[in-house]
Formats: sequence, C-alpha cells, structure tokens
Amino acid sequence: MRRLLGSHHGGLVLLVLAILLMPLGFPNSFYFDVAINVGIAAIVCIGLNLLIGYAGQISLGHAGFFGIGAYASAILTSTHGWPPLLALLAGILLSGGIAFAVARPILALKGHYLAMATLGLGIIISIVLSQEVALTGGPDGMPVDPLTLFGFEISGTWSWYWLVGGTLVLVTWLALNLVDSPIGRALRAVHSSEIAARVCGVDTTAYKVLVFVVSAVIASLAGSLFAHFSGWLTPDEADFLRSIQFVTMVVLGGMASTFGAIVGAALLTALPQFLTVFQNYEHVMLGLVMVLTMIFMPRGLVPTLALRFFGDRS
Amino acid sequence: MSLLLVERLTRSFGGVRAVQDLSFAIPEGGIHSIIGPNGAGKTTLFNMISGVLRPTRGTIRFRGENIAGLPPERLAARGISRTFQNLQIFFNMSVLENVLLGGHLGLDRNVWRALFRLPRLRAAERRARAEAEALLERVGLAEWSDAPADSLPYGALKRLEIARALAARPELLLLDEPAAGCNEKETREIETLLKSLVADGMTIVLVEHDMRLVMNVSDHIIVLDHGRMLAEGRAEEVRENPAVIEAYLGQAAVAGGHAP
Ligand SMILES: Nc1ncnc2c1ncn2[C@@H]1O[C@H](COP(=O)(O)OP(=O)(O)O)[C@@H](O)[C@H]1O
Ligand SMILES: [Mg+2]
Repeated sequence: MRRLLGSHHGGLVLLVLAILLMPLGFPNSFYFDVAINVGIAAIVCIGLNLLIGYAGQISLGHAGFFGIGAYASAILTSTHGWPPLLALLAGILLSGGIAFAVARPILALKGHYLAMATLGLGIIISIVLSQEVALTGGPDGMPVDPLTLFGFEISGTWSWYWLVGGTLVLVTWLALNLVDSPIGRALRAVHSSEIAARVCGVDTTAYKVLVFVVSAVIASLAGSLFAHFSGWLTPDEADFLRSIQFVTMVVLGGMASTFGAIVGAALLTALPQFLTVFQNYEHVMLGLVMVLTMIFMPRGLVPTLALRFFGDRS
Repeated sequence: MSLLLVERLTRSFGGVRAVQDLSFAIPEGGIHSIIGPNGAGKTTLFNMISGVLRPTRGTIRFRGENIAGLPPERLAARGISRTFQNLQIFFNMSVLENVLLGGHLGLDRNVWRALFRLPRLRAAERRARAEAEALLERVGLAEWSDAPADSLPYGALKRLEIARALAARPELLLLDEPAAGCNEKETREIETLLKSLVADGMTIVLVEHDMRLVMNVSDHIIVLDHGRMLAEGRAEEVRENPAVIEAYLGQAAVAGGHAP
C-alpha cells in the first residue's frame, strides 16, 4: 500500500480506480453534478498547487484565469459561433498571455506584496467581467452553448463525468511528471532557498514565470469546461471568494502534494453541497478551515496522513 | 594566466567596509585558503565571486573576463560553484534530489519532455541519478540517498552541500567553512576529499577556521583582516609571518590557548 501510494504511478492508478468505481455508489444525478464540480475544482487546484505548494509563490487571484477561460468559451461559442475546442484554446492563449505579461513584475514581489498583487489582478479581471455588460451580460450572467468535441455533443451527466474525470487524470499525470523532473526540482528549490537555487544555476525568475503561466493555463482550461457544463455563467465564478476557495483547497489538502490538491478540492466542493450550514456560512467556514488547518496540520491533510500511516515524509 | 584575478575589490554595507581594496590572484589548480578572524570579510568575498553580492568597486576576472556583478546563475554556468557557511540545503527534497539540483544546468530542462516524461528525459534522469549517487558515495553519504534532507545531522549536511556543488562539475569551487561543526573524523574525511578533488584538476578556494585542515591541504594561503589582505604565501610562510601571529594567531597565543 505504501509503495503503491508513494510511487509515481501508484497514486494515479488509485485515482483512476476511484473515478471508475465512484458512480456505482451514486444514488442520483445530483451526486454526478457534485463529482463533476469536484473534478473541475481539482484541475484548478493541481495547477495552483504547482505554484503555491511546490514553487512557494502565493496567488490570491487564480479565479481570474478560471473566469477568463470560462468567458472565452462562453463568448466565442455562444456569441461568435466558434467551435468549442477552438474557443477553449483561445481562452488558454489569453490566460497564458496575460499570466506571462504580468508574471515578471508580480513575481519579483515576495510574501504579502505578492499576495496583494495577485489579489489585485484577480479583482481587476472580475470587475472587467462584470462591467463589460455588452460582452458578458454583466452580473446577471450569460448562457453558454453546449460543448461539442469532434462533432459529438457532450450532454448528460455520464458524458460529462467521463470527460472531466479523463481530463483530471491527464492533468494529474502531467503534474506528477513535471514535479519529478529537473523543472519540478528547480521549482521546489525556488521555494526552499532562492539564493542556493541561483548558485546552482537555476534562473529563478524564469521558473516562477513558467509555473505561473502553467497554473493560469490549467485554471483557464477548467474554466472553459465549467462554462459549458453549467450552461450559464456569472462573474461570481471569477471573483475573490472563488480564488480564496481554490487556495483553501490547496492548503487543506496539503501543499506540495498533487493528490492533496484533489482531496482538498473534493472536500471543499462536496461539503457545502451536503451540509447546509457550510453553504449558508461559506465565508466563515472557509476561514475556519484555513485557520484550523494552519494550527493543527500545517502540512495539510494528505501529507499529514501519509506521514502518520506510512511514515512517508514526502 | 590566473583562473581568478581580483583587483581592488571593495564592498561596503552602509559605513562598514567588509572588503576593501582587495587584490589577489588564484592560479589554476590547487587549494587556496582564505583565513582571518570572524568579520574579516571572507564570506562577503565569496558572495561577490559567486554573484550573490555586487561589489561596490573593483573587478573580478574569471579566465580573463570581468564577472563582477553578474548574477549567480550566469556564474554557475561559467563553472563557479560554492557552498554556504550557513547551510542553504533544499530541505523540501531528498538528499539525492539536492545533488540532482546541483547538476541542474547539465540536465534536460525541456518543459514538454518533462510534462510527458518522454524516453529521452527518462534516460537523462537515469544517468543523472547514477552520477548523483556516485557523488554521494564520494562524500560518504551513499546510504542517505533517499532520505529527506531534513533528516540528516549537521556534519552530513555540510558534505551534502559539497556534493551538490560538485554536481555542477565546477572549475572553481568555493567552500565556506566546510569543516565547521564537524568532528575529527568528518574533518579528516573532508581533507581526503579535497585532496582527491584537486588531484582531478579542480581549483578550490577554501575558507576555514580549522587551522590543522588549512595547513594540511593549502598550496597557498591569503590572510584577511578587516577586509584587507594581511599576508599571503605558502602555509609555512604565513604561519611564521609576524603580522599574522600578531593579528590573528597571536590573540589566542597571548591568551595562552591554541590557535583558533
Ligand atoms: N548583508 C550584510 N549587511 C550588513 N553587514 C554585513 C553583511 N554581510 C556582512 N556584513 C559585515 O561585513 C563584515 C564581514 O563579514 P563576513 O564577510 O561575514 O566576515 P567573515 O565571513 O570573514 O566572518 C562584518 O562586519 C559583517 O558584519
Ligand atoms: Mg563567514
């Protein structure tokens, strides 16, 4: 069990099994809805965890990139009749381009300053999305065309479940590969000691920019999926609370743990759906989760449990 | 031509001149020690040579080119590696991964090959791991390879930093107090290691307080005091230099103790 979880592909096998077997226990389509939303949030969190957990750079604005992807898909397909896959790619290019453009000045900042700058970026994106009424429908939102891929329309919970599940597995695999490569080690080195990393030849700025762009692109991809899945899009999806949700998921699940990001996303997406208290006091609950995690298990759920049960320190 | 030529190098911190008007040459090959009391400016000098700090004034020539003010990652690419007096270990990685990171510039850094873990990357990673294991063997840490770096004792971390610096295959290796906090046995292992590195053609600049180690390994010693050069020469010359005895070794001798 320990070898299975610890090894590179063992965790991936477990994830695939979980995705395959879970529907057997789903009593109705509401559970599929929740699972699909879990998968979408998990995709964002895996990318965000590369930035926060591995490279040690905070972002409080990643819902902005989620929103850019979502609105690119919504506007380009519904208003301009683009094929959804092309719209999704356009969203990725836009998110990646914006992330690339702002990364250098923003990531030169550290700690609180970086947090404030990314917060500001997220707020700007969310304000633009609410204010551009002609384009986005403003705060009331806009409808989104269904997703068609290679001539097939993705409709119904089963197809969405497999699409999001497959994408989650793919993104997880890519993230695991990246972490366990010279690039992943460079990211972790940036987190641990920038000066030692540079002395070892790591161009720390370039790697911070890279991981910021990668995480933005992944958030954008998830946003596009979300837009088509929900069929209706409002600027709430790109707002500050959403950014905080993503960060809390990463922190709760466990920083620098790809499977932790998935677990955090699953807990914080599913809990509000099943516990009405959580739903009614979402801000308070998120704050509470963050504070309790920091106090009782600063490493997060998955790393803490792995340490307790398997003595595995990674 | 000297491998390293430092000319009129100065670095101030506010009013404090940590290094002032310092000039010296390091020829290729051998072990060159820089000694001096605490606060003499040894670490500041290393910080400038490795690009961590910009000099206030002066030039640093490496193979004839002025490298003063270049960033550390560029100097690493040119073949300058170092260790830190205050450990800078990557505590979020395994021992082996620390060494692998030391060889970063020689590894496959293509994003696409990393994302898809293509065969070419896998092969390169296997080779890199074998080399890193060999380096760990060389510094006596082979059995710690897969341990998290934060589980190692202090003396082992010192040697891990040396292995990490060696992974870059440097031409010039700067070691800042590698034996500090090490016991007799560990210090002797470091001595053996340094001699074997020099036998392989490496040039080492050593900052060290352990005088026995310094006297045993050094081909050439530079004595710093208050950021200036006090004396320079072969081990026995420096040991008998009255100014050195007075300013440095003398303090302890006067107090009736041994040289620090
Ligand atoms: N970053 C810094 N800021 C201010 N003063 C410094 C800094 N680094 C070193 N110094 C000062 O420069 C002098 C030389 O320090 P250092 O190079 O560390 O000496 P050594 O390594 O020989 O003990 C000391 O007076 C020290 O306080
Ligand atoms: Mg020092």
